[in-house]
Amino acid sequence: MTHPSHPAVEQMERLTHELRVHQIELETQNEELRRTQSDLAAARDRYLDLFEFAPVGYLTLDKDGVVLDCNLASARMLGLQRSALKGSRMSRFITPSDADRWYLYLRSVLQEESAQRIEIALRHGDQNDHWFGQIDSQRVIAPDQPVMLRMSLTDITRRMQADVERRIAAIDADEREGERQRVALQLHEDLGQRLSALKMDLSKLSSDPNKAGNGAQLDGMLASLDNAMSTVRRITMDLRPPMLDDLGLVAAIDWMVRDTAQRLGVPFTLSLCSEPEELGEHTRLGAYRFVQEAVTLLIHDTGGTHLHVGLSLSRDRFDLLLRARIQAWTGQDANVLSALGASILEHRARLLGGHLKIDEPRIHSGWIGIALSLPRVPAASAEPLSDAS
Amino acid sequence: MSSSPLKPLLSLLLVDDHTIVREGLKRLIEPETNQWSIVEAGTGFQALECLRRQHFDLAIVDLSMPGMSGLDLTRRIKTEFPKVAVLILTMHSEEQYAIRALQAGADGYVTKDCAPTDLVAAVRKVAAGGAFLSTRLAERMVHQLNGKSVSPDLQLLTNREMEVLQRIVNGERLVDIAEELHLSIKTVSTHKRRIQEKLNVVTTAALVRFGLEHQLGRDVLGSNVGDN
Repeated sequence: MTHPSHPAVEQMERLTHELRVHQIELETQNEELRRTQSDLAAARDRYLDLFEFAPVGYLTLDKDGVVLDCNLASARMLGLQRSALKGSRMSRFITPSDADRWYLYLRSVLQEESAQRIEIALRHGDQNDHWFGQIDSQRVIAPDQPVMLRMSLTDITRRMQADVERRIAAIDADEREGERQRVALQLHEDLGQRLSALKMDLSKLSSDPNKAGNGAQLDGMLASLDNAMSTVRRITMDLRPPMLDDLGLVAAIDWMVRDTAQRLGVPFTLSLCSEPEELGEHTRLGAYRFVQEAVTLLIHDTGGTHLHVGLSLSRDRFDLLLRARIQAWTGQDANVLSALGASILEHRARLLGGHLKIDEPRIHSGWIGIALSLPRVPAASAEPLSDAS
Repeated sequence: MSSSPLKPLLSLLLVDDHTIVREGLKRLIEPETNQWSIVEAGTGFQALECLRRQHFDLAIVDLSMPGMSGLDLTRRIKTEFPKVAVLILTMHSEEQYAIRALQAGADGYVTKDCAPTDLVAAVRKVAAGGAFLSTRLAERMVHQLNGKSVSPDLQLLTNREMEVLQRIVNGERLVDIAEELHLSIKTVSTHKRRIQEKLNVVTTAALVRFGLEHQLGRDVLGSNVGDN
């Protein structure tokens, strides 16, 4: 026999049940909060890691260029402790020679909505040594917040040094080319003309009926003189053909291809257009040296047994095409043209602002083609200010 | 500038920027013996000035001169003094220079290393209204002007198309070409069709003729076509 439950007991049991339910709910919520907290901590650690240990510097600047926040990389790059870097003006780290550029850059970042970039010389703290950095900045405008700049800082010193070295190499090449031109001119105009005059005098003596027994000796001297004049002409042409300046690129290529192919006994064909009017000295010389290099590579490197050189002119392009027939290539490399040879041609094509295409034969024999396409530009803007082959 | 006092049979203007060459040349052509008067000029501008002042039968002009080049001077002489004959006397023995000089209006072209007899003959012939080229140079110019240049159309072909065309010209069958080049017969046929389209040639026979005319045959490849 059971007794009906007492109302107070029932109420207590119900209350206990509700409390247990609440307890379970609270425990669940607590567990969820712990998980969220853990996730947040992990996310914070991840973003802290990304920010602090990034290989590039991150900075936040106010509108006056004062550092508000920064990561460790930027502090290391700028040569200060992070605490010391905060509150410093960024202009403190710009070399005096670039101060004006920095000021103008800061103004443009504040005015523009898009990110702005500058490559600039920077200093490590207050030291005098400098390095080159690339700075990308973006203006940030938040409601009820002052204007700020988000900035990334990348060390580009090596690239800039490589660029400087490339320019020095280009200037050096220019000077060497100038030297070759001067020597060629002296050979032709000084030594060559003197030899010509000497030849005239010797010829006069040789035809003199009173030369007595000196005829054979004079003839020998004349033959030697002819050889010397021929050598002077050859050296002059190898150094820098006067024809390039006197008659232009097309005539010089015509001569060079005929001369080279005939000397080496290689059959050749030529298809030459008229000279583009706008070609300046730099392009003329660069294109000549390109063809000279390509002909040498095609005949010597690849053992070409037939050479074709074509120049064609269209409204917007000047195309140079060189082809050689490879009879039976037995080289070990995948390409007929050596990697070094191809690199040299690519370098020369790049300096000319042209597009190079090397078409290798796919089997052991066939035609190899080297095509250089140069854009035609109006004569007034045809010549770059620097760089030469 | 200096002049000979003799009553001349021919009046010559010698234009060269090198005094030593002018002196050598005067000794060589013996103006006194030939009764030629010679006036010298060191630049193109001096030469034009001389031509304005007196009549000359012949101007002997060097090509490489500072300021006005020999080619420019020749054009000016032929424009302003068309009756004056021009003989180019230069160190440049390349035919490209000779062609350009003749195009500029020169009547003769001799190099400074030529035989004295050739030079005197050149002066006499050009002054008399004729033309003069040394035998060797004339031969080289003929070769160059008749040079077998490739048709510009041939430049439109790719390397692979050149290879296929050359094999067709050599008489190989398409099936053999396909096997040799590791291609399908269909691909070789497509190459052939494209070649015909690019060269605007309808039949295979015409294609072979075109190839032979442009030195793409086996026999021709074995010879030195440039040295023609």
